[in-house]
Amino acid sequence: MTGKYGWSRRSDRLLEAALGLAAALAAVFGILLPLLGVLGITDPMDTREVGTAAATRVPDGVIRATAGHGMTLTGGHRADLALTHPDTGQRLLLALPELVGSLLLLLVLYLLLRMARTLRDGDVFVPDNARRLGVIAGAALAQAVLAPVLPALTTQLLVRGTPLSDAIPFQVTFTGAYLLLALLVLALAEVFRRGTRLRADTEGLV
Amino acid sequence: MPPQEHRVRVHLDRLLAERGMTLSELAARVGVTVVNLSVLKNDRAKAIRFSTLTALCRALDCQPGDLLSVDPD
Repeated sequence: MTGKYGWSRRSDRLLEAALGLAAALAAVFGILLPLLGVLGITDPMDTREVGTAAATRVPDGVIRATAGHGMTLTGGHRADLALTHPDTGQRLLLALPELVGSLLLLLVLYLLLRMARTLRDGDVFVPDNARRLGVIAGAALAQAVLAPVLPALTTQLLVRGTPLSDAIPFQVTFTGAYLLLALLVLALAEVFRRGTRLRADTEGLV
Repeated sequence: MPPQEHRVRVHLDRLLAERGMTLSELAARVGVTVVNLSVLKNDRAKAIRFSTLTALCRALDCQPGDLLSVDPD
């Protein structure tokens, strides 16, 4: 049966299936596989892209190739930090940003799935959904802070006490995308909260 | 402000009986569904629109005070 806005029971099922699939993929590729890598069961995680204090070197051959074309090519401030034989603790530090990000994503997908299930009853304006949106906004806010901070922090822990600690500075670059997302979801949570209250007000109105 | 229990009573059943009118007939006259009138009749309504009240009073030839009363404390 198709609803007023072209939404049907099949749409409910498709939405739930899509969210369930996304959650399963996040759980497998974002949590299970990195954890197996940490434990050394699968190909262990041993590399991390880091920011360096000095510019990385561009191969001489490439520099020579650009010379006759009125161009120069210089190195950037990014490099790959590779650990030859990382132990479990180091592998955990390498995997930690991805694990935390995936856990937050899984939490968001789980809450969206719970919200999608309220569509079955034909009523999304319930207090639980307003609360769920508040938690999703909190998760987006946490990701806004943790996504840049965790890699920088764990990198520092990995190179602490080695000559590389001077070459790899503590660099954190915040982007506004997650913050904007968190604010938008917070606004949506408020819309839901007011919608729920308005519905409660009009319930029983004759 | 927390919601408070109301003590408003609706005397629709009495007025209908006095006028020998059924709920379906009243629904047809005032343009309100039988379900909603039933909610009103059984004291399950939480609020009533002035437009509904006006239509009910016109159809039943009464005043709001005949239709509604407030129980004493």
